[in-house]
Amino acid sequence: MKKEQWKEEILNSLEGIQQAAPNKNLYNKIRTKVIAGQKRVVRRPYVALAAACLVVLVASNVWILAQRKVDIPASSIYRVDNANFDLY
Amino acid sequence: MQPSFLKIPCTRNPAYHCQEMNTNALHQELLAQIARGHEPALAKMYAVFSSRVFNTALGYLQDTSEAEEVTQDVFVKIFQSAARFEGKSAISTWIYRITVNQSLDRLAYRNRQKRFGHMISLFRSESSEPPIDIPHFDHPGVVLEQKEKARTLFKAIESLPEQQKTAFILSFLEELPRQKVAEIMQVSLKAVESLLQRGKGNLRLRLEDFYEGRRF
Repeated sequence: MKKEQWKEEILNSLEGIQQAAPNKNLYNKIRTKVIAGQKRVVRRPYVALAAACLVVLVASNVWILAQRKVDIPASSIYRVDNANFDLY
Repeated sequence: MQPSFLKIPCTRNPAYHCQEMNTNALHQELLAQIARGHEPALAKMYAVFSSRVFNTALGYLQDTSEAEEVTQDVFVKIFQSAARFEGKSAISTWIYRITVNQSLDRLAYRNRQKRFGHMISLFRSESSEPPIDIPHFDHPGVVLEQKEKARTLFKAIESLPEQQKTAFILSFLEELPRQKVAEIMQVSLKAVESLLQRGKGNLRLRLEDFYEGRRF
């Protein structure tokens, strides 16, 4: 009986609890973090520009390589084969 | 009639126009300004919600400095993601949800640290560093005559599973209506009631252990 009463008292111990408030200077810390974050955001366009340049560079290289493959004339391969036949 | 959870603690911010700010529409206006990068709007939002955020985080972490760090993270997150708020719930619900998630992340991080500390101590011959453990926690809002009992209750709350802990903290520490708790947790009202019932059952079991172990 005593035990049950004790448990009830513990479970009801939060009745009438007041809200705790954070440190008064906490907002200054948040403000500093937010402003620092905004500065970082300003630098993002440069990062995006650099990334875009990289994509263009890679794409143009791929395109040039693809073009070179296409440009090889079929007759040149044929000529090599012929040259080998001439040996015999 | 306005629900009690939207009442702003005016006494803490006398210069603030509490009555004007007591509606979700005005909170939305503040959030829209925050989304445009207007920092003073964040200050106003902080004045409205800081106590609720801090108090909720304190319930989970039972440590003032860690609860303040979570409060910081929550408001930075509000600033960063204000533009992505879809308006599907009340702003207070959204802020509580961020707070709960940040607090749970912090608890998970603390538990990882604890496990890592324990593992390190196994490999060390001399156990020079004690494992990280939270000492007795006294909630600053508890009345003096209830401090010892509340301390025992907080110790028991610590052992609850995540969902039960969230339902308990939001219902009994934040004193939010069950419907609001359900919205924050994104579960049904019935589920909240069931979580609270199971949570209370687990707390009773835990308290039984404390009762056996306490000194008279």
